[in-house]
Order: sequence, then structure tokens, then C-alpha cells
Amino acid sequence: MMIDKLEGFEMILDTLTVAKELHDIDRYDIVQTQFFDTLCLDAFYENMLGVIASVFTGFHNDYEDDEEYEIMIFTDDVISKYYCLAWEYGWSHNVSHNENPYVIEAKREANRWLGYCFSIGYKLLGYTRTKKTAMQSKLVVYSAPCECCSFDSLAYSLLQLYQFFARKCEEHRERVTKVRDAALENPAITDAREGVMAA
Amino acid sequence: MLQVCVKQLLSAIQSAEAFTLPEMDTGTAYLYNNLYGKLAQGEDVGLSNLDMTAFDTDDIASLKELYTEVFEANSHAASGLTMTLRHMNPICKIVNYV
Repeated sequence: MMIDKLEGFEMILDTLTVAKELHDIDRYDIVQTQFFDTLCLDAFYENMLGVIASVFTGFHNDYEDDEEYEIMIFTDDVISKYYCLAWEYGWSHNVSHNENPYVIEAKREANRWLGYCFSIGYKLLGYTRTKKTAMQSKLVVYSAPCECCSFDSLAYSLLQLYQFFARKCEEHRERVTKVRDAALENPAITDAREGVMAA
Repeated sequence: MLQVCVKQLLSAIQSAEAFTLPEMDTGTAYLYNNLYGKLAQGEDVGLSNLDMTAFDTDDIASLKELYTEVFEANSHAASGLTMTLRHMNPICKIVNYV
């Protein structure tokens, strides 16, 4: 086999990494709808922009000509549900917003995945005052052109953040289901209820 | 002036150890054969041609490392040698034509 330098091979591998991540989190639909099928250097940026625009359900972007930076706003059920969990925790444990472990953990994850480059700024607008405001939580990302920050890094980071919110919501759902199933199966609770009914 | 004995050069090339691929795990080998191998032969590779369950992201990183440290490095070395030989001036010598 001839061994040769391939132009753009590393970017092709970066594209494949993102596609593989999407496959592993059951979001391969994004690859099927947003990616060019042929792996090549020319399709790299289009593919990554497709991921950035699709990983969260709601995406709105704007470009500031004067300052030359892009603002991207992401909304999704996973973000809203996460902050609803945060609101519920804060309300039931009488914990302030800044001391809420859900809020703290989300901030830490956002910093981990988006705090890697000086030309990327972000604001995780998570609300916990009421359930209604929690549903309006969103992620805002600012991006300025920079040689050291590539679109594939941003796409990958957004994927990881999406997975974080989705995983936490799923873990909570599983916990609630377990507790409910245990309560239904617990004979002590059933006997107590029957005793109450008989009296 | 740099001079090269073609006979000696050929002899050195023939006696040099053949290139052998480093050991790869299954996933990396899959990508080497189905992605790198085909692209190196000038074929197009589509995402739909690849089995996403046959490798993981660590395998992609392994292939990237292999490409950078071995293939690309070898390619640079070969290109350098080619350029050196290409730019060497021929030596005029009287030889018997027949």
C-alpha cells in the first residue's frame, strides 16, 4: 500500500470524530441531514456548522459587523428540564440559586467545554426563580474569528454539553421511576393503606 | 560537491529493512484499511461506507497519531531525499558507447 501524505486528512478525522460522537448519543440524524456524505477537506466547515446549528433544537445566530463576532443562542428541552430540576431542588431544599448544586455543576461543565479558547465566550442563562422561568433557560455563545479555535472544537464542545444535560435529565427520570416502582411494590405501604381503609 | 554512487545507493535501498506497520487494535486497523487506505489510493470514502460500530473515538485518535508520526514523517523524508537527488548535478564522464 502506498503511503502518502493526504491533504486535509486530519480534518477528515476530526469530521469522523464528531460523526462518531453523534452516532454514540443517538443523534446520527444530524449526520444524515447536515453532513456531506463524502469525507473531504472541502466539506469540513459546512459539516461543522451543520452540527453547531442542529445539536440543540433551538438555534439563533447573529453577526456583529463592527466587533466581528458571532452570537449564537441555543435552547432545548434538555436545558429547560435540567433547570426545572434545579428549581425543584432549590425549592424543596430551600437552597439559593448560587448554592444550588445543579446550577454549580452546569456552570462547571460549561466552563470545562467552552472555556478553552480566549475567542469563545459564553453565558449559561439558567433560571431557577420559578418553574416558568426555568423553562426559558438557554445557552449563549460568542465566537470571534481565531486561528486556534476551530469549528470542530466548538461543535464537539456543544455535543458534550448537550450530553451532560440529557444525561442528567435521564438519570433523574430513572430515579423517579425507581422510587415510584418501589412504592407500588412495597407491601408495607399496601397493608397500611388497607388498614386505613378497613378502619 | 556531493556525490552519490548509484550502485551503493541501490544496494543500501535493497538491504534496508522493509517498512512494517506498527501494531494496531481492531478499530484502528478498520479505519486504516477502510478510510486511510482508500483515500491513499485516490478513492472517495463516504460516511455511509463506514460502519460506526467498528471503531471508537480512541481509534480515530490512534490513527491520527500514526498518520502524523509515521506516515507523514516518512513522506517528508522521502520527499527530502527525492529533492536532494533531483537537484544533484550530473558528473560528465567518458564511457565506451558500445
